[in-house]
Amino acid sequence: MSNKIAPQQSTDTEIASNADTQATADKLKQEAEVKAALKAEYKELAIQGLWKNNPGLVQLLGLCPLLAVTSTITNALGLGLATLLVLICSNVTVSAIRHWVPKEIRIPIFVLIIAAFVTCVQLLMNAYAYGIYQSLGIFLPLIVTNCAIIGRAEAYASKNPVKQAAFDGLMMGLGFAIILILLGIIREVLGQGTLFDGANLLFGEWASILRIEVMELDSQFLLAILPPGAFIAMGILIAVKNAIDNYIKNKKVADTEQVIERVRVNFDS
Amino acid sequence: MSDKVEPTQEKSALTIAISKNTKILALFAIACTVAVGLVSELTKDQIKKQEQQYLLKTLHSIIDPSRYDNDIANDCVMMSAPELGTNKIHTAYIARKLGSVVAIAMTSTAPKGYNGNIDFIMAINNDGSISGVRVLKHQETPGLGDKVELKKSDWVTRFTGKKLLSVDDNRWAVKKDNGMFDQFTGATITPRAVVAGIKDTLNYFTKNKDSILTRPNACGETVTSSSSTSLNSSTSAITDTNTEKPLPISQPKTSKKEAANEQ
Repeated sequence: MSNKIAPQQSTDTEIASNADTQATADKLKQEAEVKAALKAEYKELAIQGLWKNNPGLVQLLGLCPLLAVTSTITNALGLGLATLLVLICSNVTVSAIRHWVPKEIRIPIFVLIIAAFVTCVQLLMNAYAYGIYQSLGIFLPLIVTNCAIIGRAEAYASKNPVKQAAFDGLMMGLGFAIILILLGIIREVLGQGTLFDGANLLFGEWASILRIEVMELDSQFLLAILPPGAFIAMGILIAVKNAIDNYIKNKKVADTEQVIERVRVNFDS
Repeated sequence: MSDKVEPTQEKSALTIAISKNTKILALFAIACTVAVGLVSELTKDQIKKQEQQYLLKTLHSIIDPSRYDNDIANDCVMMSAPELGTNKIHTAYIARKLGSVVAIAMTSTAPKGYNGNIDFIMAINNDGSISGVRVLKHQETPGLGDKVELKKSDWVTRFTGKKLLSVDDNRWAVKKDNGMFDQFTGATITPRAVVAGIKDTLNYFTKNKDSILTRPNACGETVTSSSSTSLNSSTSAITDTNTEKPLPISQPKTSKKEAANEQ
């Protein structure tokens, strides 16, 4: 209402305010654009990390810990969280120092940073989650060699601002952790018939109640617990992912018409 | 080509770049070391507390806490003998009540497991009977041989109260070898190894009981000074630098290399 009354009273102020609003509108528009771009970037990062470029399923990085410790969910969760933490920290640090690191020596510096963070995480876990520290054993220090971490540092964090790098680390770490947990669920249910066995090692004594007896097994299903079971389960997970991708692609093709059909042929060939 | 034209300048540019990069690298190395050192310093006490707690928990599971009144985690001796499975240094914790020995908890190794060494701790009462056995570390097949863990089966509790009648007591074997201990379905080698390991350790103890109990305390100084670590520090008992730390009850994972060396 007040807007309508104002121009009748004085046109001068109206023009001025118009110009003002114009400027602010432009600014707002720009900001909105930047924001939209940022949002798109974050969305893209999330999709890349969780699905399209998942370190576990697509990049197949860090297979050694992935397959070795996923015999129970608790172990998977422990390693997943540790990797996530290291990934975020290393991404943030690498991104923060990206202007000061000469190109020639960036790799040794990244390795140094990652190793330092892994050691810190290891010490912290030793101090505050002793049980899980023991059941993860050698695979905790082996996070240093997880190519997913140095891969992200090199491919993304060293070229992008801190916030995005942190988000990228979060998403990649989550993607990795989810695969670990999925494998853990499959192998623990099939192998021992339980879920969250030994969760108290990770979260403290109260977590013993999390343990669920899914099914009663007379004897353990050995294959699921041993490394071959991990490979098979991993293969099935990758197959499921590819099947979903194919399904989505085919659906898109079916929705649009002939023109796309040729593209589809191209894709197949 | 350019080398020939201006070799000195090129070289100096290169040296400048190298020295600059070296400095940056050194700075980062120092920064990382400082960070790790800081975290290590902050967590040191907590880690020690955790290790002590874990040790006490294990000890309490094989020697009832009401039976002794000394600070058992800080009352130990070191020993090394082929009867204990490996040539590593093993630790024995002594439980005393009013100064006299009630029981001794010895770490030991059964070397003939299906998949390498099986580390265990056993508590022996003063009269030579077993107060309890727990397996600390093993690499046996999950689902078959891993029933030596208390978590998977109560098999290890059957040793409690058993005694060696003679050095060659032939009841100390699995049932398949006409002994008194069950084997597992599908896994005989693991229980056979554990039974043999316990028998050897028991024999070692009865033979050397006096000398073990009169050895100087190797863990004692932890009570006062915080700098020396209790369980894993290389105390005076270890002279050979090549030997590993005393069989670390608090860190049951030993490296694979080590295991391979002993096989």
